[in-house]
Amino acid sequence: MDPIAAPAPEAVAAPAPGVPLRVPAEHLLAALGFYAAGGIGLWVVAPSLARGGYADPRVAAVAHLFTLGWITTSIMGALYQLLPVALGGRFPWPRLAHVTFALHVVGVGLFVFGLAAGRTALVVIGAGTLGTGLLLFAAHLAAALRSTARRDTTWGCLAAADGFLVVAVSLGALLALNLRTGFLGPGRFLLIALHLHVAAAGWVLLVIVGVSRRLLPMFLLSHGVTEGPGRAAAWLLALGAGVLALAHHVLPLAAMPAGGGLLAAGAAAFLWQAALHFRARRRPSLDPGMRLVAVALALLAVALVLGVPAMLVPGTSPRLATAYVAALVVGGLGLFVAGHQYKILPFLVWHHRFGPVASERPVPMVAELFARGPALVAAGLQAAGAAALVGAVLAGSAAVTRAAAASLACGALLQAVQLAGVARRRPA
Amino acid sequence: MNGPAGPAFVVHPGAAGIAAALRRVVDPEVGLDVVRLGLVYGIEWTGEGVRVVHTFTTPGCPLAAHLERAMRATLEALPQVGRVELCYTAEPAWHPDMIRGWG
Repeated sequence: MDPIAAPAPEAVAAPAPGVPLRVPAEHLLAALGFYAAGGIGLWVVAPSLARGGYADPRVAAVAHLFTLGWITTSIMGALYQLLPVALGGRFPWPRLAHVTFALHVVGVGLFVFGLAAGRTALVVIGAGTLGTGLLLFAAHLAAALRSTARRDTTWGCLAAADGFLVVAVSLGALLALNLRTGFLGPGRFLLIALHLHVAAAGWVLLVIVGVSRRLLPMFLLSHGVTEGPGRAAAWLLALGAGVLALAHHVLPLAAMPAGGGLLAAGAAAFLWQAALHFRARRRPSLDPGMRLVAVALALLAVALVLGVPAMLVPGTSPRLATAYVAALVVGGLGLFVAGHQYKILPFLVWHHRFGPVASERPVPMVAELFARGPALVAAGLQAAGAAALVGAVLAGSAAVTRAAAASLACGALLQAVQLAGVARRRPA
Repeated sequence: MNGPAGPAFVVHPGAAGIAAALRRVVDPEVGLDVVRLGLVYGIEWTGEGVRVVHTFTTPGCPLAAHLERAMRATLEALPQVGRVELCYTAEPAWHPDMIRGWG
């Protein structure tokens, strides 16, 4: 071993204090509950899905269990922990986090039940409640972003995503009001498409692109990979979602395909970036969480292939459009979140409960907080279920759609039970 | 293997013992100790004790506080070490090529 001249030490920038464990934990656990409910909901609405019934209110109810209940609640919880550590920012009002959480969870419950039961008043009340919660969360996130020490691509992605969350909530509120008044007329289908894409790409995918800059190298040990495709993805997604956000009132409708094209290019750039990380990974084997992430990326690529004809070709088959949304929401975004839940929740529990005593007594590794075998089974059920769901909807098979939904639901339930067990773990 | 080569240890009587002790400090996410992970850049003896120059896998590492606490507690528990000084540096940035094997 050769001697080295040790580099001049620098002061460690102390991370900003995070919020208590309860804040992210309650979000992540509630999200898992929504995920299991969403899986069961897919099983219930499987015949409608196989007919391409994306406009069926019960299908819309299940879709929102995934988008609002599973994906958005998970993102909220993860950001409470990630932002202070990754960007040196601070959520200034920890108690507000509990308020926004309560409004969001109650609102999603009312909204989804109202949609499924055909009770418009509940839909409007639920939309108002969850919308208030999300707007308060967006304000809290904006305040946290304002306080950050570092302003890099991750910061830009989160700032843009925060703005698009507000736009998505506003478009959703218009759609909820339309259920009562019908003021949108045939224009509601255009608004549904805009709402979906501003929410999925402008909010969710931009957050994913931003946090993946930090999380993929950390979880895969793929440091040193070029970040160019990721930066391009951020710009393309922000521009595309911006065009769509303005398309309804400000820009001519002819701008919409351009907005969609920018989103597709942004998603493709993100897939390229993620593929570079997976190729450069130094981990000897993928854990259950990262296997789910790999499947999610593959299904996001499938969504990209289906989305271009589904959205840009007039008179497209409803089954193609439904399969596209399933590949995007359940597969690409939903499984990406599921994979990261297997990483984030155990890490949080370890960091808050086991880390402080690790110098005094033996403690398990993060991955040892849950059993690997059942996690692999859960991941396999979800991956197979999501992939089969897309294929079955395309083929129009109600029986296979239902079997795929059952597989996904079982996987989601198993993951929820496993991670709820992790949340209860304490040092011996 | 295209990344930068990891710095080696300062050769000094007693450094091996310090490095051996630091191998008990494990990154709970990766599952490797800080020495094998390549986080320890240098071990120096000062007049009053030992100085460990180290990095983290990423700036803003969520485990930074835990790893520093564990390294300090491990070294302070050693006899005749004296004052323990932990010096973080981000240069050179950590790279997976600095890992000294998974086995």
